[in-house]
Amino acid sequence: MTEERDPKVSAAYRDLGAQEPPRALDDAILAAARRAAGARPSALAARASRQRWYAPLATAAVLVLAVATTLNMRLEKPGIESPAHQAPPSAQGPAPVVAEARQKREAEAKPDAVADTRVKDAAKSQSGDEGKNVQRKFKEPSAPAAPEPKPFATDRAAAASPRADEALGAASSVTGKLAGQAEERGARDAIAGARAPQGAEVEALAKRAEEDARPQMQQRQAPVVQSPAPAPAAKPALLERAAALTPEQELERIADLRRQQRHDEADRALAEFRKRYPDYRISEATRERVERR
Amino acid sequence: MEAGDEQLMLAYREGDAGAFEQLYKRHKGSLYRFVLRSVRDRALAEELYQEIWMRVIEARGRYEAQAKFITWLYTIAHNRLVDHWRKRGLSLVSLDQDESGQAEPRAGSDYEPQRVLEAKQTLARFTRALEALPAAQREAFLLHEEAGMSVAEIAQATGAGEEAAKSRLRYATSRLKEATGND
Repeated sequence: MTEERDPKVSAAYRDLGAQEPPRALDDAILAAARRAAGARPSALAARASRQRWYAPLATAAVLVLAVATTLNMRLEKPGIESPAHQAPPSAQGPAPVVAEARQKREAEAKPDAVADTRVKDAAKSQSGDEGKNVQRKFKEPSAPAAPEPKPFATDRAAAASPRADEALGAASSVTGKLAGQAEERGARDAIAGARAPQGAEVEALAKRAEEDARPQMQQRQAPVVQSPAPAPAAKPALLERAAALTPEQELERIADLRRQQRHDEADRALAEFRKRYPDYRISEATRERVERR
Repeated sequence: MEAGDEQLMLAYREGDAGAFEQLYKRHKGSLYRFVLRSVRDRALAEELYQEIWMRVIEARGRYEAQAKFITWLYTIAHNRLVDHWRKRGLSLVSLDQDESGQAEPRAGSDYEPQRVLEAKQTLARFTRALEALPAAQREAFLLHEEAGMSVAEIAQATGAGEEAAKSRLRYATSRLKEATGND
């Protein structure tokens, strides 16, 4: 209803002055208001200033979380999916030392110049204690850096290995294939376990490997292999060995088998190696040593 | 962005004394002048002014956001003034009649701004004209000028019909216009 307002009347009214209540009256009223409200002065102002920060703060927090999660996933994913591609520092630690030792041996190059320890190892491996010897042989130069994968590798992978070995020993190609898969899976899990053998994770991985191997073996092997599984100690477990070795160590072991003229074992081990590490590039020098000539 | 009156009042209702402080700062001057120019007695005006705010504080729990705060505030003020008039044996209806012949506006230091007396006779006439207005017309005018209320809001705050409010405001404006020499 602006038509009721006359600008000159309004101006004249404003000229009357803008009286204000006395300060004492203000204080009395505000004090009464605070008492009634339970004395929480300036809470709204504080809330308003907080609200100004809520949106940017929340956005920043979400961004930080998203980036951190993405990075974490990227870092963790390869380790879980393909442990062979990027061995963790603990597993990679001994590799340079092993490579160094291998180069040294290659430089010496003469079969009769093999070190005493190697002769001893070869002798021991023929006596059937192959897995332990191989481990010992490669652990010696890298002992300080190498983690101790034994608890998982020997205890857990061995649980799956008897069945896997049994399958390998069977004539059926189907069971052999299955055994290969189970072995591969078991070995992969075993390697993952050796890489980070942390309590519950190790347990879970071992359990999974065992469970994965068992139903397939039992279901498909039953008509072919009726006999009970041999004792784990009777036949050295390939898985046990594989789980304990890095790719370089595995190749070195195959080369040793070749040197000992155990070509069948070497072929089998090489085939397993290629299955397990399909994208591993074997150097020319190593290939000459591990492949049948 | 500043919070609205209604938001502040709701915050105060929830116990935020700071909200009341903001609200009080916004409206203290206009309410004080409204009361002062309605009763024409500073001491009485201060007493009534304080009582009005006390009623606001006491009634905070009944405040609903649907009501515009300023209308609610001046309704409380109006009611307090009506109580005051009744105690004096007067009513707004009777005061709505032309009372120009009833009494001369009281002259006093509180009601005649010094600069008006000294500098502008026009403004003195205006003051006297305002004081001489019937209470209901003066109230309508003061609500319009001080609280910035529309006719509808004046009607709502004073409990009068819109036509009555409009009429009071028009008469008040017309008389004050005469006093300023704007015919």
